[in-house]
Amino acid sequence: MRRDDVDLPISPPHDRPTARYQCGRACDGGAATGMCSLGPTRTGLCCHQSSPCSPVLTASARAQSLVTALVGVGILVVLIGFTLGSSFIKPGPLSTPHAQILSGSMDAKSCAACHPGANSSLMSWFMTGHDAHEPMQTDRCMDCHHARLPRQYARMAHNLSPNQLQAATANAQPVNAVSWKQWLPKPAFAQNDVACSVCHQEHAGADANLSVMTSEQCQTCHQSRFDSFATDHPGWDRWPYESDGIVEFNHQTHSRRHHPGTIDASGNPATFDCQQCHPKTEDQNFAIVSSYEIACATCHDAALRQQTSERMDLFVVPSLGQPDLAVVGRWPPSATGFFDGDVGPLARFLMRDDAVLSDAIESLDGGKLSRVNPASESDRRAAQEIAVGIRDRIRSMAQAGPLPATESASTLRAPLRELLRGLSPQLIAAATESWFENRERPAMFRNASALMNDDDLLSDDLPHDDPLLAPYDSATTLPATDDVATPKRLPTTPSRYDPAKAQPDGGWYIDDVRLAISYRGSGHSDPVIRSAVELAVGLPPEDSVRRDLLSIGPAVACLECHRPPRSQGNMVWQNALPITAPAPSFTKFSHRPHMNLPALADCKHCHAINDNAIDAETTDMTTVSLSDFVVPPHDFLPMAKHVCASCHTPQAAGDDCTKCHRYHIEAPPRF
Amino acid sequence: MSTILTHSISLSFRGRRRASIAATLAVILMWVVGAYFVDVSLGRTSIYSGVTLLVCLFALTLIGLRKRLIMLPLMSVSTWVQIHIYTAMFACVAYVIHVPSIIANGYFESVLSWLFIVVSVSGFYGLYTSRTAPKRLTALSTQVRYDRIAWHRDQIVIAAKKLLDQLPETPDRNVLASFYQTHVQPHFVSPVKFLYLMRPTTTKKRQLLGALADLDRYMDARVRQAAGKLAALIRTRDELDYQYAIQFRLRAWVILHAAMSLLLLVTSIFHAILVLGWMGS
Repeated sequence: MRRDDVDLPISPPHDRPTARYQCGRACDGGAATGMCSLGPTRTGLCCHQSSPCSPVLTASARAQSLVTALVGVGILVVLIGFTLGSSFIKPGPLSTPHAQILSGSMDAKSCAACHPGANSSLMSWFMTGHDAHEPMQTDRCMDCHHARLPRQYARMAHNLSPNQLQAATANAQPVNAVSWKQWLPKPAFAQNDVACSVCHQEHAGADANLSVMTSEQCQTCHQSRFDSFATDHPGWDRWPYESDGIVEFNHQTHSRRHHPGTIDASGNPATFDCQQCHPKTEDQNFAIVSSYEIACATCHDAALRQQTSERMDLFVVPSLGQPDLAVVGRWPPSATGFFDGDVGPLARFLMRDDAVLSDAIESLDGGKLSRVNPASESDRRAAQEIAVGIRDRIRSMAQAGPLPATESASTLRAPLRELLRGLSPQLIAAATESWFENRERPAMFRNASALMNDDDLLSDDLPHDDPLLAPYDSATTLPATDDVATPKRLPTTPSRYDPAKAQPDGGWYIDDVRLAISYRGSGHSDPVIRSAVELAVGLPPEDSVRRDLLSIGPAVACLECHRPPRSQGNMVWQNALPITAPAPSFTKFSHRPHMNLPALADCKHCHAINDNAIDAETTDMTTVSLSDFVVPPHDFLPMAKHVCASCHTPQAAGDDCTKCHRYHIEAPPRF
Repeated sequence: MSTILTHSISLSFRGRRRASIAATLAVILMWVVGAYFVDVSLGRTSIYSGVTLLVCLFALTLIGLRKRLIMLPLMSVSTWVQIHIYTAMFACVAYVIHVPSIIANGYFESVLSWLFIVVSVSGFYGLYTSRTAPKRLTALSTQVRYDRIAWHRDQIVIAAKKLLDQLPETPDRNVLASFYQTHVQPHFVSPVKFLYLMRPTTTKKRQLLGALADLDRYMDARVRQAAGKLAALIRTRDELDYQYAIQFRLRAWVILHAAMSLLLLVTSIFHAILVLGWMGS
C-alpha cells in the first residue's frame, strides 16, 4: 500500500487565538479562498463589505460565554434557593430533642428561636457593634433551659457565681504530674463569657451528641492539666468520708463482730450481705438503705421495744408543802407534804408561752422543785406558780383538747399535733377529776379489796400462800371490839396502772401514783416518739427543752441510729435516694452500669471495709486523737483510684472527663 | 514562593518538585497543628478552617486574572500554575478539616460541598491531563489550532473530491469512487463522535485503510496511486480527529474548572456572609 502524502493548503493566518470572532467562511468549502483579508472586526462585523460573511465566535470566546452562562445560572439557582426560605440555608438537621421542640415548617420563626440574626436585616449583618438590648444566642438557649440553669450565671464557667468558682478553685486538689498538655493554649474565651455554642454545636444530625467533649477540651480552662486518668488524675481519698448517711451504721463492727456472732435459725452465723440493706431500686441503682424490717429488725427490734417502752411524761403533778395549799387551792393529797417533782421538757414546751411560768421554771433550775428552799419566799412562790400552771394546763387540755391554741401558728405545730394526736381529752378529764376534784375513779381502775392484795410493797415479796395474803376472817381471829375486826369501808388506795400489761403496744396513760400523764412507746418508728424527736430537733440547739427531750430514754434509742441535724431543722429519718454522688456537684456516678460486671457484683470490690478502723464500742475514745491518724477513722477504706482505672482506660470503659464529671452544676455545690 | 526560591537556587525540575511538596507539607502540618490548638482551646475551628479555605479560593482564582493581565510583571504563568497547584492541595486539606464528613448537611452547604469536590476533582484531572495531553499532541506530525480543525476537515474533503475527479472514468476508478462514496466520504463529512472524544481510537482508520488495501487487486497502477493518496487523507483525518479530541478535552476541562471555580467562589462568599450573620455569640 503506497502511502503518498497529500499536500493540503496552509490555513489562512487572519484569525488570532485571542480574537473573539473568526471569519464565517472558514468552513465554507466552496469559498475556501474567499477569506476576508483582515478578518472580522472586534464587534463581530465582516470586513468584506461587498459580500460579508457571518463571523462566528472563536472557541475561546465560546468558552468564555459558556463559563459566564454557567456561573450566571448557578448564581440564579442559588438565589432561587434563598427565596425558598430558611430550609435552603439550614446547615443540616437539628438534634432530635431540639427538632421535636421546633417541629413544624422550618421558617424564620423557628430559626429565630436560637439565632438572633434571623430577625435582623441583611444590612445589619455588616454593621459593627452589638446592641445591648439585642439578645445573644446564649440568651435564646436560656429561654428554654432556665429551669435547670441559673440565667444570671449562664455564661459563667460551670454556671457558678464568681465566689463559688473561686471556692471550687481553692478546694481543688493539685495535679502533681507534669504533662505536655500544660503547653496547650489557653481557652479562646473569658471565664465569665462562656457561650453555650462553645461546647454545644447544633445542626450535626438527629443522632448527634451535643455534649461530646474531649478531655483536652475539658481541661483547656483548668490551670492543672494532666495526661491520663490512670496516671495523673488526683485520687479521691476523701470518698466516702464525705458521704452523707442519714442512718448511723458501723459496717466494720457489723461485718466483723455482730453478724458473725449472731446465729440464725439454721444454726449458722448470720451473713453480712450488702444488698440486704442496700437493695437494688427499680432503675437498677442501689437504695441508700433498706427498710428497718428487713435490715435491722431481726436483731434490734426487741431491744427497741424495750427502750421505747420507757415512759415519756407529758405532765407530772408536783408535790407541794402543806402551807402552800392555801395559795394553790385543792391539791391531790398524795402530792402534798414536801416540794418535789420535775417539770419535764414537754411540759416546759407547752407552758413556755406564759412568761411568768417560764420565769418561774427558770428560777428553779429548769423546774426542779426538789431544789426549792422552803425558807425562800421566792422559791415557794415559783413552785406555786408552776403547780398552778400545770394544773391549769391539764384542765384546759381536758376541756379544749391537748393541742394548745398558742401553737397554731408555730412551725412546730405539725410534730406537736402528731405527738398529742392519740391523747384523748377524756383521759385528761378523768385525771383532772381524780387528782384535783377528788372524785372516785371508775371501778375498772379500782380494786375493792385493795388493802393488801394490790399493795405493791407486799405483792411481789410474799409467796402466794402467805397467811397475810389470805382473805381476812375477823370472826375467828380478832375480838369483836377490835376496829380491825369490824368490817369497815376502808378508803381505796388508787391502783397502780400497769401499762406494760394493759398497753403492750404503747399509748397514752395516766399514772395515778406519780400523778403523771405519760406515754409508752411501741417500738421502732413509734409515731409519738418520732414526733417528740422532730419537735426537739425543730428547736434551737441551745434550747434546754431540745436537750432534755433528746435525752429521754425513747429518744435516745432513736438517736442511736438516726442522726439529728446539728442545728435547728427538720429530722430526716431515712434517705430514699439511690447511692450516687450528691446531685449538686462536679461528679456523677451510677452503680447501674457497673452491676453488669460479675466481678463488681461484690460490693466489697470497691468498698473495702476498714478492719483497722477505730471501734468506738471497744476503744476508750478519750485516748484517741485525730492527729494520730493520717486519714479520719472510718469503717471503709479509701477507694483507690486503680480500682476504677483498671477498667476505665481509653480502650475499655473510657476515661474521658465527661464520663464521671459534670460541667453544668444545677445547684450550688457543697465545698 | 518555594518555586521562586527553587528557581533562584537553580534546582532541577525534580528537585523543585520535591522542595515544593516538602514546603507544602510543612505548611499543612503547621496549619493542622494550629487547627488542633484552636479545637483544644474550644475556639471556632470552623471559622479557622473556613477563613483559610476562603482565602485559598481567592488565591486560586487569581490565576485566571493573571492570565489576563499579561502586561503586569507578576511572575510567569508557569510559576503561578505551580502556586495554584500547591495551594489547591493545601485547600483540600483545609476542606477536610472544615467538613470532616466531606459532604455537608443542608441543601445549600451540600451544594457547596459538591462544587468543591467537582472543582477539586477537575483540578486534579487537569493536573494529569495538562501533563499528558501536550505530549500526545506534539507526537503527531502536525499541530493544528483548535479553531482551524474544521477548516482542515473541509480541505480534506475538497482534496479527496479533487483526487477522484482527476481520474478518468474506468472500472478501476469506479471501484475507488464507489468505495469513497460509500465509506470514506461519510466519515470525512461527519463530525467527531462523542465516544471518540471520550476515548480516541484508531479503529475507524484501520477499518478504512484495511478495506482500501483489500481493493488493491481491483485497481490499476494509476488508480492505485490515487488510492494511496486517499489513504493519506484518511490518516490525516484521523490525526485531525485525535487533535480535536485531545484539545476538546483540555478546553472542556478548563471551561468546567473555571466555571465551577467561579461559582464556588461566589457561593462561598454567600456562605461566609450567612455564617457571620447567623453565628452564635
